[in-house]
Amino acid sequence: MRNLLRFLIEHHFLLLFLFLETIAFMLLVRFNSFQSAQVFKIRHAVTGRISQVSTSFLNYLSLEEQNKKLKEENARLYNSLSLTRYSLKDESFIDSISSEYFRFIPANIIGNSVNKQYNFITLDKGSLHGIKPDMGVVGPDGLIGVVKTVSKHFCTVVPVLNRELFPNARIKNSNYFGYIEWPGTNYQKVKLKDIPLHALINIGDTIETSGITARFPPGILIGQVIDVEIEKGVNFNISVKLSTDFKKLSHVWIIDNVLKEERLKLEYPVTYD
Amino acid sequence: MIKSFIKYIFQFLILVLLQVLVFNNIELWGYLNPYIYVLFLLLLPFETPRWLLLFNAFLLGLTVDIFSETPGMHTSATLLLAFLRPAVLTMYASRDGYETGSLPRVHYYGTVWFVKYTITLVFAHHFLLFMVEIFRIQDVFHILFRIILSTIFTSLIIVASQFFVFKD
Repeated sequence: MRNLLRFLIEHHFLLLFLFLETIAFMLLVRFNSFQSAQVFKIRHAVTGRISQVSTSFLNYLSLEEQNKKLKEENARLYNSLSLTRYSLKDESFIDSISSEYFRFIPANIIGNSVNKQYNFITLDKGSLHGIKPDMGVVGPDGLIGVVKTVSKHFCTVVPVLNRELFPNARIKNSNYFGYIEWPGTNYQKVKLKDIPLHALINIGDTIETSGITARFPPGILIGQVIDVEIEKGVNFNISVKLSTDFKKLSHVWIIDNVLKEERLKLEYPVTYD
Repeated sequence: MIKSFIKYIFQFLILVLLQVLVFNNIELWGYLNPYIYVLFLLLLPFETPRWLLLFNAFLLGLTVDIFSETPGMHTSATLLLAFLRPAVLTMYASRDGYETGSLPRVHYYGTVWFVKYTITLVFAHHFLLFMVEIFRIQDVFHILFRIILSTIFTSLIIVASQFFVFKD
């Protein structure tokens, strides 16, 4: 206290000068329109810059959460989309209780391979999240594969790039259906088999899921026809370029067909007994 | 004591009136604004306590500000002048310092001393005044030019006044 007092007395001239000068400047920016406008401008430039920097920093910190939100939002939109698609196509027997119904569960890819004959993908969702074997998996650009094994927190997926999987597919618009087979060579090309010779098919036609199995809703993109040959005069040999680039996949949706059990029970009564 | 007190009050009033009524209306070539009212602070006795110097400067600046409708502008500049005055006096003191009872005038310490003393403090005053008036960094050279010319002009008038008005 005494030191403070001594300090004040010793420097009274400087302190008084600063005090009065402060008052003068307060008067200046308070009562002179040009000077106050200048101060306002500078203050806003400074605070604006600071808040810009802090906002971008905070945005960066919350990127993960925002990504998660976006994925959930996507899943929700997919859900409503599949509902509307269904209700538009099958209006004749729409019935709020029994119409087939697909639920989309977002998942991240944590393991992936494209260069083997039997490739697998590992996802970060498992039985805790309601995943069961044999569920379909789709990505942002179309079909991915089918869930094979499930643990508590993870599941493995057999992608189209696996010589065990033969997903059903159809030619968009003409509706002739067959199945997809991967020859095990190029990770971007698959074959469409079992299309009858009288079907009209052109290069550039879109191939999509047929919906005749319970795993996928109909109309999910698979790829585009890039080459058509007739093999031995009996079969089409159709090359399809996959719309999904399996080398840069990061997140996918697992499809839960809520009414699958009921449908399979009806279709295979003996095995499900 | 009372007599000199009244004399300074009188000086204060005369200088402020001269400034706001006459010199505020002079603006030669758009550059030169003489601010002769600072003479009041220059002529205060050597013995004036430093805090009183500051209060005088504040009062003087504020009065001129109120008449020229620029609150704070002249006040900040006169405060700087008052703050620097003791240091400038010490800087220009002769070896013997200042005699008690003498005043900072041409009559006591000569023309050269008075001119140096005046130009230094007037420059400080004008510098802050013009900077605060323009209040931005652009056009610095233009402003410096104005400051220097106005300093010369104001100093000329102040020094001349010492020979024609404050002759005693």
